Amino acid sequence: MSANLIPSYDMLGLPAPPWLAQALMALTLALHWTFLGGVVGGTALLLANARRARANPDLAELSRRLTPFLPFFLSMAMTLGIAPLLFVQVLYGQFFYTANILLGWWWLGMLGLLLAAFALLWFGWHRQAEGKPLGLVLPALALLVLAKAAVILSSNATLAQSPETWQAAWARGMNRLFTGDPALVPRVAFALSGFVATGGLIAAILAQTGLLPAAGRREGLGVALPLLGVQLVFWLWLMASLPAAQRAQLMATEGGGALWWAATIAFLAVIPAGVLAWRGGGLGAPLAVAGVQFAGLLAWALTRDALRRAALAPVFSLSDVPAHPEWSSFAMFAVVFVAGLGVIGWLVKMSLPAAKA
Amino acid sequence: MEYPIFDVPLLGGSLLIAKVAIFHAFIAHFSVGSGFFVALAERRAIREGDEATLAFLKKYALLILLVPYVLGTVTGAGIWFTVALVSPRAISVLIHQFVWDWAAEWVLFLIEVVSIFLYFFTWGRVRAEVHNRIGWVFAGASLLTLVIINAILSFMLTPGGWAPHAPGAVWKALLNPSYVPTTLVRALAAFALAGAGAVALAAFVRGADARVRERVVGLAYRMILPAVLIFPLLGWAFAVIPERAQQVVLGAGPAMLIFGGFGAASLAILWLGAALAAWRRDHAVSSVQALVTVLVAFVAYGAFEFVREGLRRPYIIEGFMYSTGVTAETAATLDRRGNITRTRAQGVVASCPWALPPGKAYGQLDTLGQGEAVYRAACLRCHSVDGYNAVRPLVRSWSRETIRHLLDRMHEVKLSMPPFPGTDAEKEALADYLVSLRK
Repeated sequence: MSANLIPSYDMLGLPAPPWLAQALMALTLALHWTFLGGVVGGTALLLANARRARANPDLAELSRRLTPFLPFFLSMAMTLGIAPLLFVQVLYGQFFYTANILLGWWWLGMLGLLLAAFALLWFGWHRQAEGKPLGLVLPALALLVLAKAAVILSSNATLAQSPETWQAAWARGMNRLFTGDPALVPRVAFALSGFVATGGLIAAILAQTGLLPAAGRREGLGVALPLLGVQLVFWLWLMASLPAAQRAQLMATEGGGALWWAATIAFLAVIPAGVLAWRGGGLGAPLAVAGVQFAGLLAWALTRDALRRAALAPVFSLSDVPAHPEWSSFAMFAVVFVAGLGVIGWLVKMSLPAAKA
Repeated sequence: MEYPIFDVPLLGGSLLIAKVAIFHAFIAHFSVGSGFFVALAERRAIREGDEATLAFLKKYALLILLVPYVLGTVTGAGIWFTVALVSPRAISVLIHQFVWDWAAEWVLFLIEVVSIFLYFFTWGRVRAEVHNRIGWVFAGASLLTLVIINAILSFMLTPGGWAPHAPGAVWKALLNPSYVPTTLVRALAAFALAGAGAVALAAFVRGADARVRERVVGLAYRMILPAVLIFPLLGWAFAVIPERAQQVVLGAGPAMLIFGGFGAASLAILWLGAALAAWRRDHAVSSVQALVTVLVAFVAYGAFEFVREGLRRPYIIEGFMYSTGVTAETAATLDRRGNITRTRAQGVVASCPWALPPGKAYGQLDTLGQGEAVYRAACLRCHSVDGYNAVRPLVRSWSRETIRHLLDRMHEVKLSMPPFPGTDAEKEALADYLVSLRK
C-alpha cells in the first residue's frame, strides 16, 4: 500500500472529543436504521400481503393504512442518516471522502435511488388511497432500489476502512463499486434481514397502539420472528467473514470485544423475547422486543466503529488528531436539540388522536 | 489536493456543483416560502370561514409543500455529496468548523419532516387552529434552516474576523460581515419565489372558482412585494464583501456583471408586475402572465446565486483555501503536511499523488504526461478540456510563450484565478501539455 495515497486529517483537528462524536454517530445511526427498518419491513409486508389481500379484507385494510407511513419512514430515515454522515466526516473524513470519490457516480447515484424509492412508495400510497390494488411490482421494485442503495453504502463503508485496497481500486478505474471486502455480502444480508425484522416489530407496535388495524400485530410479528433468526445467522456469518487479523484487532481494540458480545447477546435474546411477545398480548411485549432489537442495533453501530478503528489501526489513530472543542457551539446545539424534541413531542401529541381515527 | 480527482466529463466539477447548488437552493427557498404561504392562506381562510380556499389549499398543498420539500431534502444531500466529491478539502474544513451548527440544522430538519407529514395526515382530522399551528411549525423550522445554512455560505465569502482555533472562532464565523444582509435577502427571495409559484398555481389548476384564485393571487403578490428590499440589502452586502469581489461586480468579471444585470432586471420586472397588479387590484392572471412571473423569478434567483458562487473565486473560503483545494497563506501553519510549502518546493503533484496515472511516479512520465498530471492536480476541478470553462478553446490561439507568461501571472491577469501552486518545472510541463491541446 502506498501510505502516500492517504490524505492527512483535517487541518482544523477535531471539533469535539472523539468519544462524543462517536457516541452521537452510533446513536443517530441506530435511529436511522430503525426508520429504515420501518420502510424496508413495511414494504416487505406489503409485498407479502399483495396476493393474500385480494381475498382477505383485513389484510387489504392493513396494506391501505400501512402505505402512508412508508414515505414518512423513508423521509425520517434519510434525515436521520444525515447525522451519522456528519460525524463520520468529522472523525474519519480523509478515508470517507476518498472512498466517495473512488465510487464516484455510484455514490452520487445513491441519492437518485432514494428519490426513486420515495416516488415508488408515494405512488403506492396514492394508489391505495384511490382504492386501487397495490400489486407486486411496486413494493418489489421499491425493495430492490433500497437494497441497491444498501449495497452502495456498504461498499463505501468497507472501502473507506480498507486503504490498502485503494491502489488496486484506482488501477481498476474510478466509478466502480468496491466488492473486494469479504464481509460485504454478509454485511448487506445482515442489514436487510435486520431491517425487515425491525419493520415487522414496528408494524406490530403501530397495530397495538391503534395506528394500524389489529391484523398488523399478527402480520408484523409473523414477519419479524423468522427474520430475527435469520438476522442472528447473518450476524454470525458477518463476524466469521472478517479477516482473522481484523477480528483479532477488533477484540484487542478498547471496548471492541465487549461491544461484539453485547450485540451478539442482544441479537440472540431478541428471538425468545419475540416468541414471548407472539404469545402474550398488550403493547408492552412488542415494545420490549423492539427495545432489545434497538439495543442490538446500537451495539452493532458501536461495534462497527470499533471495527473501523481496528481496520485503520496500522495507518491511523483518532488519538493522534488534536481536539479543539467549541463548547459554546455545542451548547447551542444541545439547546436546539432539547427544544426540538419538545416541539416534536408537541406535534405528535396534537396529532395522535387524528392518526388513530 | 491529496484526494482522488473526480473527473466530470464536459461539465467539470465546478459547474456540476453550481448546477446542483442552484437547483437545490431554488427548490429549498421555494419550499421555505411555500410553508409561509400555505400557513398564512390557511390562517386567513379559517378566520373568514372560507371553506373554498381551505379546500383549494388541501388539494394543492401536496404539490407546493411536500414535493419541493422532498426534492429539497434529496438535492440538499446532493450538493453536500457533490462538493465532497469535487472539493473534499473544502467541505472537510466547513464540516469541522461548523459541525454543531450543522447538527442544530439537522434537528430542524427532523422537525420539518415530522411537521410536514403530520400536516398532511391531520388535515380535516384535528381542529383547524391546531392544524394551522402545525403548518406554522413547518414554516418556522424551514426558515431557521435557511438562517443557519446561510451563515456558513456567507462565511465562505466574508470570513471576517474568523481565525481557526481562536476564542469564539465559530461565532465570528457565523456572524460574519455579510451574514445579516444576505440572510434577509434569502428570506425575501424565498417569499417571492413562493409568491411566483402561487401565481402559477392559480393560473394553471383546474376546478377552483375565480374568487379563490383571486384570493390566492392577492396573497401571492403580497409575498412578492417585500422583495424590493433586496436591492438595498444587496447594496449592504456589496459594501462588506472583499474589495477583489467588488471589482468583479463592477466590471472586472464581465460574466458576473452580465449575470448580475440579468438578475437585477428580472427582479425589477417581477416586483413591478406584482406592484402594478396589486395597485390595480387586478388579481385575474392569464397563463402567459403566470409563466412570465415564474420565469423572471427563476432568472433573478438563478442569476444572483450564480454571481454569488462566482464572486468567491479564486477562493472556496476567502483568503484561506483556493478553489483548487490548495491551502492559502493564512492556513499554511495549520496544514499538517505543509502542502503550501511542499507544492512550492517539490511541486503540486508531490502533494497530489492521485493526479498521476495509477502506479506511476512523476519521474517515469514524459513531459506531456507530467504536464497532464499538473493539469489534473491544479486545473481540472474548474477547467475541463473541451466542455465547460474549457482550456482547449482558450489556448488554441495562444503561443507557448503567451501560455508560459500567463501561468506566471494568471492571478494578476484574471481576478478569479488562483496563483499557480507548483514549481517552475511544472509550469514548463503544463505549458507543453496545453500547447499539445491546440492540435
